[in-house]
Amino acid sequence: MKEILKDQEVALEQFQYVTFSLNDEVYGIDALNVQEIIELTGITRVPNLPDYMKGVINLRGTIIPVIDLKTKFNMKTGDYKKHTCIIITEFRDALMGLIVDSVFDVLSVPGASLQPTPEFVTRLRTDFIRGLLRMDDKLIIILDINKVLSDEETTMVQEALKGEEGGNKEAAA
Amino acid sequence: MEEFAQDELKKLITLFTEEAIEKLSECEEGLLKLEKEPHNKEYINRIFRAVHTIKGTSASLGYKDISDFAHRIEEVLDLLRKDRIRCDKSIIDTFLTSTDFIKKTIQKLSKGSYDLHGSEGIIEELENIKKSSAKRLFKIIFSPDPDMLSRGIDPSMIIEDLKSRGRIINIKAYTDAVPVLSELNPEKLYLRWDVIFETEEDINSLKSYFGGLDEEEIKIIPAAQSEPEVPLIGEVLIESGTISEKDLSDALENQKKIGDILIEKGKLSKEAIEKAVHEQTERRVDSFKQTLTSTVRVDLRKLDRLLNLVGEMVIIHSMLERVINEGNGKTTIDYSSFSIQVLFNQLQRIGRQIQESTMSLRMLPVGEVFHRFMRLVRELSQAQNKKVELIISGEDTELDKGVLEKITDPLVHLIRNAIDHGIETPEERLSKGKPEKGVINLSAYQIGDSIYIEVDDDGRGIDKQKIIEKASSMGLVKSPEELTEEQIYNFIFLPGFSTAEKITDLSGRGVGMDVVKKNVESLNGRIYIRAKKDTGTTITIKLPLTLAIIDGLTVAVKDEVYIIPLQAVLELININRTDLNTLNENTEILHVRGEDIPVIRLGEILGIPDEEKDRGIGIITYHEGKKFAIIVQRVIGQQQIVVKNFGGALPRIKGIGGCTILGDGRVALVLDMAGLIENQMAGSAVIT
Repeated sequence: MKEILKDQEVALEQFQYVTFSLNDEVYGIDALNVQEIIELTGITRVPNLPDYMKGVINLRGTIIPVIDLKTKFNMKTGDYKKHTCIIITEFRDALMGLIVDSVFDVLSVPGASLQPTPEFVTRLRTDFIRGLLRMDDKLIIILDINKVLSDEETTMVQEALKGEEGGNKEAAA
Repeated sequence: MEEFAQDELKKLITLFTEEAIEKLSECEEGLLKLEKEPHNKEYINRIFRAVHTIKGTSASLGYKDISDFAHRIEEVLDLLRKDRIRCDKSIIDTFLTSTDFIKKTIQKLSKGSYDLHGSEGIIEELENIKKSSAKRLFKIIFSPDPDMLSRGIDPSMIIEDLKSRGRIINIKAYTDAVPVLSELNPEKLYLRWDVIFETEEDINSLKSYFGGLDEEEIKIIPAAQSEPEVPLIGEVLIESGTISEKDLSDALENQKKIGDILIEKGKLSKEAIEKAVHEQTERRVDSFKQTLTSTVRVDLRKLDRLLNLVGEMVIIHSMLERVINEGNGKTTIDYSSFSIQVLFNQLQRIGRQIQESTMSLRMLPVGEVFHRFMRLVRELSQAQNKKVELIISGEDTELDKGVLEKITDPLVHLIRNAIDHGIETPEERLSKGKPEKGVINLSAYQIGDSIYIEVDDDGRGIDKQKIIEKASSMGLVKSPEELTEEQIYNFIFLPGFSTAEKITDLSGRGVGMDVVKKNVESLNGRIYIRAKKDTGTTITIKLPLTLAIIDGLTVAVKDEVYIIPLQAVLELININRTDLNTLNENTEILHVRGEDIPVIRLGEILGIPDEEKDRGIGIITYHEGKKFAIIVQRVIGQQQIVVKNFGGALPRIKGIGGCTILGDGRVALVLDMAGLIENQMAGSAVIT
C-alpha cells in the first residue's frame, strides 16, 4: 500500500470502481475486471461443489460458474431479490459470475484517495481488501478481486485433488 | 500503449510458435523419410523449405539466435542438396537433434524467456559436417599409357604436383601389370594408381590440369564422402580373409553398450544406469508428446462451403423479413404463415448443414499425429536393440481435433507397449521363424459413426495363462475356466496389473493400460484387445466421430434436468415397488426379468432429496460388462445436444461430463455414466 502511495503518478491517476452492495455494506471492485453486469438468471446447480459456488449460468452460449459473494464472505444470506444481479468478471482468461445484492454505479477516484486497510478484526480476510474509500459519509470496501478469485481457484483445485485421492484410496482398498 | 504492444507481441509469438512447431514436425517427417531414401531430393527440398520458413519468421520477430541457428542447419542442408556431402545416419541424427533443439527453444519461448543454452555442441557438429564438405573429394584413377615415359612425362611428378593443389588422402599403386624381371622393359610404365584426393577446386579445373593426358589415362570421379582414412579393423580383417563377414557382425553384436562397460568396471551401479536409460526414454517420449497446436488449418473448400451456406441463410432471412412485412396489417394471415412455414423448413435445413460443415472444420486427418510416431518408433526400437517398422494406413481418416489431441497419449503408450512387450528381439524372432524385423501396423478407418484406430504388432502376443495366474494370485478370479477371452484381456486394464516379467526402461510397471482405458473412455470410446500367442496383438480403439454433438436422454429428478448420453443407455424400465429389494439396508437391487441389477438413485448421488422413492424410471446402463440401474423420476425425451465445457473456471467433477444449453436457455449437466458408477462403487460396498 505504502509503495503505491509513494508513487505520484499512481496517486493522481484516476481509478474506476464498480460499486455494489452486500447486505448493508458497500463494496467496490476494479472496473477493469468487470466484463458486464446481468440480471439474475436461472442458475443450474452443479453437485459436489463448495456451498458458495452456486452453479453455472448460460451467458449467450458461454457457460460461466457463479459464486455467491455473501456466502463466500460468511455474511448473512437471504433469498435473491429483484435487484440481485450477477457481475461477470474476467479472471485469467476465464469468466466468473459474482452474485451481489445490487449494483450502484461506477466511481472514478484518484488513486491517492484509497486508504490502507486498518488492522481490524473482520470475518473477511484482510488480503481480499485492496483498500477503503470514504465517499461522503459512506465507507466503501474495495476488494482485490484477483485475490478472491485466485483463492477460489486454489481451494477448488485442492478439493478436486482431495476428492481424487480419496477415490483412489478407496479404489485401491 | 505499451501493454497493447505487449499483447500484440504475445499474439505474434503464439502464431510463430505454432507455425514453427508445425514446420519442425514437417522437418522431422522429411528427415525420417530421407533416411530411408537418401537420394530423394524432394525430401531435402521439403526440409529445406521448412527450415527456411523458421529462419525467416524468427528473424522477423527479432530472434536472431534462433534464425542464426536455423541458418546453420540450412547451410548444411544446402550442401546435402548439392551432393557435396553424403546423407548418412549420423547426419540425419545431427539434423534431428538440431530440430529438437529448436523445438525446445521455441517451447521455452512460448513460456516467456528463451536461451540457446546447450547449442554449442550441435553447432560444432554442424560445422564439422560443413568443413568436411568444403573440400571436395575426388577419386583419380590414373592408369597411364605404358609409353608415357617415352613421351617425356614422369608420372611421379604428376602425383607430386597434385600435392600442391590439395591433399592426397590415400594412394594405392597397382603392381599387378608388372611383368617378371626378364620381360620387363625399363622404357615402359606398368603401374597404375588410385588416388583419393581432397581439394577445394572443382572438377573442371582439375581436368584442365591434366589436360596433357588422354581421358583414358586419367579418370576423375567426384567422391561424395570421404572414405575412412583408416579402414575399420573389421574391414581389414575381412579384406585379408582372416575372418568372414558373419564373424564380424557377430562380434559387433556382442559389443557392449557403454552402460554395461561402466557397470562391469564398477564405476556405476546397475540401478543408476537403468535410471539414466529410463530418463533418456522418458525425455524422448515427453518431447514427442507436447506438439499439438491450438489452431486448426482448414481446407479452403470446407470454408467456401460454409460461406455459401451462410450466404443462403442471409437470403432466407431477408425473404422471411419480406413475408413478415407483407403480412403486417393484413387480415389474411394464412398465406404468410404458409410461406413462413416453407422458409422455416429451409432455414432448418441450412442450419443443419451449417452445423455439419462447422463440425467438419474441427476434423483433422489422423496422419498428422500418426506420422510423428515414425520418429518415436525409430528412437524406441533403437534403444531396445529391436528392429521395428511402423506401417501407417488410413492417415486421411478425419477425427475431431479435440479427440485427436486426447488420443495421442494413449497411442504413445500402446506403441511403447508394442515395442517393449510385443516385438521380440531379432534373435528371438528368427528362432521363431519370423522375419527379423517386427512390424507395427497403425491404422485408422471409419465404420458408421465411429472411428477405429488400431495398433497391431506381429510380436509375441499375450499369454492368457499368465494373465489368469496373475489374476488368481491377486484374488480376482475364482473359476478361471469360466472366463471369456474378453474378460481375461480386460484384466490388463485393471490398475496395477502387468504381466511383464521384468521392469524395463520403457513400460511394464503395471501402470499404463488402465490410464489408456480411462483416457479412451473419457472420449466416450471403447478399447478392445485381440491377441494370439506368438502371432501378435491387436488393440482397437473405437471412438465416436465427434464429441461436441451427442444424442442424449433428457431426464429429471425433481425439477433438475440432466442429460444421459444415449450411447450408455441399454433400456428404460418402469419401476415397480415390488421389483426393488434392499440388501443390508442400504444397497438396493432391481429385479429385471430374472436378473438382479444394482441400483443407483440419481437424486441421492447428486444431492437432491428424492421424495418419491417408489415411483420412477430405471435407466439400465452398463459399466465394465456389468449392468446398473440408474433411477430418475422422469424421462423427458431424447434430443441431440451440443456438449460444452465448463471452461477453465471449474474443476473437473467426476461423474459430470460437461454441460449443454437447453431450448429454454437453461444449462443442463451432461452425466458421465462411467464416472458416476465408479464414484458410487468406490463409496459403497457393492459386491463386484
